[in-house]
Amino acid sequence: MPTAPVITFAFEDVVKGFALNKGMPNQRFVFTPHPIANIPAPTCREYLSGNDPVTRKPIIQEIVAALTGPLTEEEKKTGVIERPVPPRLIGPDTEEKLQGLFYSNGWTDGIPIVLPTEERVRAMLKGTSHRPDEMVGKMQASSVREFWSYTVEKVAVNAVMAGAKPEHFPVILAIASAGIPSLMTSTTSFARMVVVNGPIRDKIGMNAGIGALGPFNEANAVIGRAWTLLSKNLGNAGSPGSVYMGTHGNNLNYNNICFPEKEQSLPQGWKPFHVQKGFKPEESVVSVFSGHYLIYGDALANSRCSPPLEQCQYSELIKFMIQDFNSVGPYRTVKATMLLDPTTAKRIKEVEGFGSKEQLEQWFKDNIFMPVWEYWVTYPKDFQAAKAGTEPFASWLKLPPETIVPIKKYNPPKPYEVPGTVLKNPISIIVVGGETLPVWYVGNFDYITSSSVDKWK
Amino acid sequence: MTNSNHSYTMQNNILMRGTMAEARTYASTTKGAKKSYHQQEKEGGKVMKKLINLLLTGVFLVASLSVAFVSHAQEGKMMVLNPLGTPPPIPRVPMAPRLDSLTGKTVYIVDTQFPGTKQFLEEMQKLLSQKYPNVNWVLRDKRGSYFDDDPKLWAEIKEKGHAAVMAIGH
Repeated sequence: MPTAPVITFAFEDVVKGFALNKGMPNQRFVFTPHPIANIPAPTCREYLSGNDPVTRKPIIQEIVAALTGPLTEEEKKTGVIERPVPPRLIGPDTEEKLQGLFYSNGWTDGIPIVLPTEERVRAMLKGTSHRPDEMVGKMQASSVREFWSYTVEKVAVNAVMAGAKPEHFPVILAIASAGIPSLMTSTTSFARMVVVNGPIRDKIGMNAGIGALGPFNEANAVIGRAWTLLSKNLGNAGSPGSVYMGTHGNNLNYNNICFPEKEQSLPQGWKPFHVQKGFKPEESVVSVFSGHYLIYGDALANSRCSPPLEQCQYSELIKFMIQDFNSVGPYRTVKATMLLDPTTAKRIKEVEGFGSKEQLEQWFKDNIFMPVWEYWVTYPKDFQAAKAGTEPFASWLKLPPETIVPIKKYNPPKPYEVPGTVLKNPISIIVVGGETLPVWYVGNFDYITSSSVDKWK
Repeated sequence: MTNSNHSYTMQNNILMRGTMAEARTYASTTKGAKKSYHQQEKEGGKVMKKLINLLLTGVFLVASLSVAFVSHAQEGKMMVLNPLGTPPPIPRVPMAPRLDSLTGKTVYIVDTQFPGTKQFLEEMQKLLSQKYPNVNWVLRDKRGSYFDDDPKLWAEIKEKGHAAVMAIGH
């Protein structure tokens, strides 16, 4: 069926690259001015009456041209578009020029890398028993992008670039094998997080104490960095303007919040995260998450915590923070991940009585409710029913929009009536920190998957 | 960046080493006593050969020194591995034949449901209808969000339509 795709010109490179990846390099796109969301009708008309910003021809005329007129010989082509295989070796050249080449090709994160000489890559490969030519996995920049595949050697090259050592390599391979890029195409600038559990944490000297999320530890730093580099180079996930469209970018992508859980400081009865996901305590595992931000919280400067402070419920404070979390974009999926300092976890267990992470997670699910405006957004059919007079919805129409209604936000009674997923486990709890202050981070991250590190030793 | 010339340099090095060994072996066998004319002629030929070999050796010496000089200049340069993964080949999808004209045809305008763009699609339908009144422009919402598929709509368009406009985002 002849089709004219119409898109704003800000996405010209994206859509043309996408069409090529889908086997239609000659797709007849029509472009409009940008943006066109939420603009008044007269402006819409003005844009549509004007020219395609790319071809400079009238938009309406271009729509008709896209649908009519015979196909060119190029447009009729069939077969396969072969892609050039990148040469294995580059050089010889000076360090300075190679650094410049890697950067200008978009192969780095903007910071000078450790150049991946054959000697260094050979040394990295000693960190695993797997063959260099063994396939590790494949990755795509988003759910509609092509998959790129990669070998152990290719992951080693990117691990060297990140500054990793051979002992870090099995963790990096585990992350690579999960097939989740740290960079996503979305205009909303996604962030990722990777949490390491099991004996590998201590073996390679990871830091779960003071400054765990900060720039203080080699293993935390290079493993997280390697994920970004391999996502760019092995998953084709990092070309700004063509594959990456995050309008701000996300600073968290430099390291992808890479840290180990402080298992030794978990309150009794609180399981390590990987054990919650079905792994044995003695297994070494990486778990990856997706979201956008982390927000800091504490009891000491919290206006919701009235004196006496010793009666302040940390779980209540955290609840207040995540009850306003909402989904990003058109998908109605709410989720929250919290990083609790061990002192916070200890208090929540010993003073507030939550004997396990699961109990706390369930408590959040049972005690956070929606404001009525959020209910109408999530269940538009009920909004229509309210306007038709059906109770109890009709009464809710009279309420101020911020009024809380008895519908659980993290555990709703029925599937959404809009696109989105009601997660079975929307809340994740990780314990990390130096125990200098009872604080926490909460973020709109949800758990994606876990991979075994032991498999890659 | 050009591909590696590493292997060519190695071949040159192997050639150089082999020729120099031959020259050293030959030079050690040329010392000897007076000879007959025939022998002298024979040996004159041999002397000529020696001279030629010495000349060639000299040429190769100069060449080797040049290579050594170049190798020295190559110091400070390194070979590195390419960090890129392997992109898959792309099977082409041939484009559908286009219509000769839209007159009398039904064209669906599909709203992909990006937030805040409905107004734009409605104006698009109005303007197209105004400029091409002999075409039936049908505006339809795709199911779900812009991520979601809508097989029922595609089936309807295939059955009742002749072409489609897909719009839009942002």
